[in-house]
Amino acid sequence: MTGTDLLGLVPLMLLTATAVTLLMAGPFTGPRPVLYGALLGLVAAAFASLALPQEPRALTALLQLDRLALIGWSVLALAGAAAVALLPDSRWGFEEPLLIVAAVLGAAVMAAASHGVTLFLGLEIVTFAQIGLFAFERGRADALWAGYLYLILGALASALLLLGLGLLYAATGSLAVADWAGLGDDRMAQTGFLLQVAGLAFKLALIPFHGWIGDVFAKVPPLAAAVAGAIGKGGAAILVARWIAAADSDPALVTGLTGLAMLSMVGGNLLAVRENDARRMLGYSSIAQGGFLVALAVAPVDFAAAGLLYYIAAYSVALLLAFSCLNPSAGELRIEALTGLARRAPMRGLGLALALLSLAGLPISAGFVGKLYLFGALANGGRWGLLVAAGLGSVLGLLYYFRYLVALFSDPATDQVCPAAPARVGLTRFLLTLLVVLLAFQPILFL
Amino acid sequence: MALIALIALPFALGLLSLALARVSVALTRWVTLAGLMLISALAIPLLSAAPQDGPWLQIYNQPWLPSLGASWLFAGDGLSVSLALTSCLLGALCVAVSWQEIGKRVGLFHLCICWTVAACNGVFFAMDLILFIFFWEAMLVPSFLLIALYGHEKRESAAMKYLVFNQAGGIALIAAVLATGALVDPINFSAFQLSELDLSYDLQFWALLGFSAAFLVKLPTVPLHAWLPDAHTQAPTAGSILLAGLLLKTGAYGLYRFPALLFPDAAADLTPYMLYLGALSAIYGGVLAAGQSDGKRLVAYTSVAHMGFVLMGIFAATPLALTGAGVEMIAHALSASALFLMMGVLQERTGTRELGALGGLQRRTPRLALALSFFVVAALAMPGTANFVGEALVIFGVFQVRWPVAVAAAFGLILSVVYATKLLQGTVFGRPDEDHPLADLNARELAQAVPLILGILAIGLQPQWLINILEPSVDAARSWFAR
Repeated sequence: MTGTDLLGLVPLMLLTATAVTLLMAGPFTGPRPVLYGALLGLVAAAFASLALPQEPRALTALLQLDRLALIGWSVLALAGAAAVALLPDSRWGFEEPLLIVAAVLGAAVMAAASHGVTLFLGLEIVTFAQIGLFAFERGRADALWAGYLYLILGALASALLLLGLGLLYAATGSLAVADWAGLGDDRMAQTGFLLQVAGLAFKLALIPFHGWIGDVFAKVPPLAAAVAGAIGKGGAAILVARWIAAADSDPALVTGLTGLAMLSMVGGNLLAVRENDARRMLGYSSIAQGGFLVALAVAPVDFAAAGLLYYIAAYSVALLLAFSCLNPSAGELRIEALTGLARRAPMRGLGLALALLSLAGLPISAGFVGKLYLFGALANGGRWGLLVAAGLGSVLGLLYYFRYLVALFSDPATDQVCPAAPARVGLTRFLLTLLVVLLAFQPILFL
Repeated sequence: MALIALIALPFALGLLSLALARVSVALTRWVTLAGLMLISALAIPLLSAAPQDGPWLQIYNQPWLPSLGASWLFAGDGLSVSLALTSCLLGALCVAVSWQEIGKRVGLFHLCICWTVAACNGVFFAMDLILFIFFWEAMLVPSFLLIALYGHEKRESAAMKYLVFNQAGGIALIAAVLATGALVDPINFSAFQLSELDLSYDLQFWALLGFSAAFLVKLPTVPLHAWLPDAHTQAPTAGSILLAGLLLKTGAYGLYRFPALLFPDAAADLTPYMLYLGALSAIYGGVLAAGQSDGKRLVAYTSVAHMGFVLMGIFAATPLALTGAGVEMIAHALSASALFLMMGVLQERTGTRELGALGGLQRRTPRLALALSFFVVAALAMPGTANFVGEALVIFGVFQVRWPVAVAAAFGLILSVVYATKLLQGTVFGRPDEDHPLADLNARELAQAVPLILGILAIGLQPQWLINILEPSVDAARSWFAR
């Protein structure tokens, strides 16, 4: 390992160092310094990854550094920083910022993984950090239950992935992703690929591996769900794209992922159409968004990678913003309770409205440009089946996003004034609201 | 710069109204009204200038995202500037008609009106296709909110239907635009540059289908019109005016501008089908209108019939037909808005839209009856009104190309007499269920109706000035079709 290799590892080292330092310091300093320490570490990691040279190079046998990895790292780290800054004042221990840093670390490892070991390692780091985030409030039975649900289903997914890795190793004698190319006829390798697809589909909550997401999103603290949706899925989607490139668009892999993406884009939106619980709605919509991410990852055009990164950024901003605008302690979880939010709490109402527009993919939000990338990649890559499913899915999505939008602007049922959020949360929410619009006008950052 | 101002100023005005509504509701109404009328004045110097570079009165081009091939490319010709002028004036009319009707969430309401106007002007001027779909999609949100938040009893389902139909078309448009633009090397979405390419027939065909899907839904033409009656009926008066007067025109404008410019071969092959669809809309829209008992719904279906004429006029592609289509767009914007204005007044006074429950207006409210009769007569294209010029020119033009279609379209004109009679019998004549006194048009309502009457007469009696304005656009469209 040379000095430049070490330099490439700086963002990952920063994340690891932040997590370890804060873990040791936390019990003595209390939550507040840990929160700001985590914020600092995440932002530093984001800028470090942007500063690194972007020409593709292998970093040991385990990691591959390129644009996809580096920009992916900065997007994931910034999403993590936003999640940390949004932690509500009333209830966070020093563990929560720490777990978010760990989730970002795991997702970053996944995003650069070029080897079975890093792939599995990254996936497990994310999974365990998420279980911690989900079930952290031990007093809340439903959060605990959601944590267990994710633990058990996650273990199953990991087992499938491991079995897939084993089969691929048996077929090729190598765990390096690059050695898996051109195995089209090998039954054992094909089975291995499909088992890996199943494992990742669980992370991305693609239908039919989506069983966990509705319950988890509805029962865990909002930010934990946002982290799972933005960071967990972002890392997994980049991994899928990397893999497809490495496996030279192996037909078994592409067919499997295409089918799952089509199912998810239509099915996820169908599940959400009648959903009146805002968090569960975001969960089901997240199934569809996972389908969009995979569709971008399998599209064989050269701007699909830039589009994928952009879509992850846009989706992360929208999801974090949406969850940060819901206030579970005031009972604002069902659509009826959100009625008139734009009048009662204008900043939150505006934020949620823009987040919903972005998820629906309409101007003037980042989601619109994300949708352009998606349809552009599918139309030019000739993925007609995916294109039709994506079109159908995004029309179905309007049915529920706009139902919530109407509720936000309707006459309030109560005149109950909402308590103001702490300045840090308010500021972060404001920045995210700005970002949802600004990203739409400067998508160039991702090209 | 005037083109940019016609888009940016209504957008900014919307934000201003939202902020002002927190201070004073009356001030908001006056400022929005005056603002939209002042903005419309920006279009007048443009129209009086002579066109340069073909039909274009003004072109604005600045790079935006070079690596995506998108730029801030706006161009206005006689047709699009006239439509933008109409849209600002209709926006002002919408503010005026809502003076009493809308009492709650006034700021948001004015924001939605201004943003709909801004987005429609964007559609009329954008010649970069990425920009075009940006504005095309941006139209949906404020107009959806106008229906869903301020409409009548079944507003939410009507608004949702409007959204889903139009977005389904919009997605087809997006896919078609992206598939076309990304084929160019380097990637480019300028309609001018794309029009110089030699696209393969297959691509032309499929991309044109995508474009047509979006435009024909918005127009709407007959098999795709199911969203229209609900949306128009349930919307508040201002929403109905914006939908009929403005949003339907974006579909017509799209068909006028893009198919022949970008996909000449495929457009030539689709021409007969478009003519049949237009004739079908003209007849079936009239039949449906004649069968309605809800006054607003009746007026809504007449839009289907009138836009059928526009569709025929565009694809017949003779100078007469294209001129007729252009005139008909403006004429229908005025006459349909006026009819919805009258229906709004009636509903405000009587609380019903049912034709059976109305009646006897000529005795009870003579001024209202007179204005309504004039607008109904205009809608059936009586000579002397703007609609006559448009529809007659379309029929003459279509006759030169395919006479059976022109004959069918003439039957559409006959049907318009049937529904017009029904509308007049149900309101102006006859005997009402309850004969309680009604207020006649007041000064504010007269101030809304009289300019519309004058506009319809100005085009109807002396159409040449409008034809002169449209002439360069007509010539350009004809040359695109002739390629």
